[in-house]
Amino acid sequence: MSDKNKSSDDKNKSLAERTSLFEWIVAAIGAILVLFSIGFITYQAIFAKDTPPNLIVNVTSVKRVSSGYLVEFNVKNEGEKTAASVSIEGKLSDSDGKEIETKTTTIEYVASKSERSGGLIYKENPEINKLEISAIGYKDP
Amino acid sequence: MLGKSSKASSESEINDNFLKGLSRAFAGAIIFSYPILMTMEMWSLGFTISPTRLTIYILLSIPLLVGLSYFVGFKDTENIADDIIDAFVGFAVGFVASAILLYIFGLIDSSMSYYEIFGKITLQSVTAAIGAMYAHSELGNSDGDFSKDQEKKNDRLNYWGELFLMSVGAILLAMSPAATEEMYLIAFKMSDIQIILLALGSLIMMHAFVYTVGFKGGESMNDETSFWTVFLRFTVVGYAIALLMSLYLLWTFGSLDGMGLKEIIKVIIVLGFPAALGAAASRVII
Repeated sequence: MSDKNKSSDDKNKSLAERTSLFEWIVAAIGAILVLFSIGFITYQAIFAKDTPPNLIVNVTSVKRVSSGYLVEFNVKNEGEKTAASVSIEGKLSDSDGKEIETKTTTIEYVASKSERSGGLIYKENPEINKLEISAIGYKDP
Repeated sequence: MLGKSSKASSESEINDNFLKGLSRAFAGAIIFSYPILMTMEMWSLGFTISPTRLTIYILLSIPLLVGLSYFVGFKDTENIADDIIDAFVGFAVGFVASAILLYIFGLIDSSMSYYEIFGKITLQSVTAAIGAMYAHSELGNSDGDFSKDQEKKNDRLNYWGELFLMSVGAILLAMSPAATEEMYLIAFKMSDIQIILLALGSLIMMHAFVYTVGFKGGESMNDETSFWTVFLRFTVVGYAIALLMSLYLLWTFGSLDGMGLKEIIKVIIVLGFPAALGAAASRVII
């Protein structure tokens, strides 16, 4: 089949005939994704309140590990802005309120409305002492 | 159209050809976007990027994809409506490929907000979509129609088309380093003399590419085209495009915010190196 035949064939067909149903479907998905992306991001740009990061830390488990006690936690950002390099500090104190051990770690990014998790390792048992874990600072990304 | 078409070509044959094109598009999307999918800064940019700049980026990607389809896309296109359909197919492929890879790499999960997940995928899907459009020319075609389709597309390539393809090539290669900290680090480490050397080096490198590779679409290097004509029309303009694309990408990623003018220019020239390479190599790839 010569090239001339081919192109004249294609020209004789309408756009609908040249384009298969499956192709229409994929193109439609693409169009929806573009519109949805732009719509969703624009919505966020206009309506998202610029509230600062609001970091909430919760202990999820305490486990015995070879080097002591592992306290696993997750940190959730309820604010609208992302916090970077979030410092987490866990202070362990005895029943008299005297500080026994303080451990810190850093979480790279906690995006708005998102969760990250991590762990702190103690020598003393956190379950028989008083443990306070909180986010003590962050930087803007 | 990818395969052989005749008056008897059935719906299933068209579908078959489209499926082949689609697989090729996925391959192209992955080849060109894996560097940014595997770059740490690109993941966090998904949610730290300014929403306005991300919206502009996605909006601009549509005419860019339509243009790419017109010049190199994964099927023979008869009119602009074909190209628009192709562009959206490319975007769908880019989006799905990015989403799958990000999920497999463990970079998106249910503890993340929709905005974080969505931002990550969208930011990467533009590059993946460009890769999908490149796929046709880059990975070749299994049947004999390739050269004919390609010749036809090349006929469309005038001077402005060349410049358009240069800018796409620049974006493609500058995209993954643009987001990384290494760009400023290199710029900070370089002395003013070294920056000037890099700018001159980029220009010479571009000209070597432009000269040896030659031009499709009738812009061949013969004796009539003088050194200065080619140098000014293609190399200098091409380098300017590379620098502009670097500026645009750095601005989009918010990398230039709060920086002094001199540092901005230095970073642009550093990123201009891969951008110039991409602009010049667009001649080889396409």
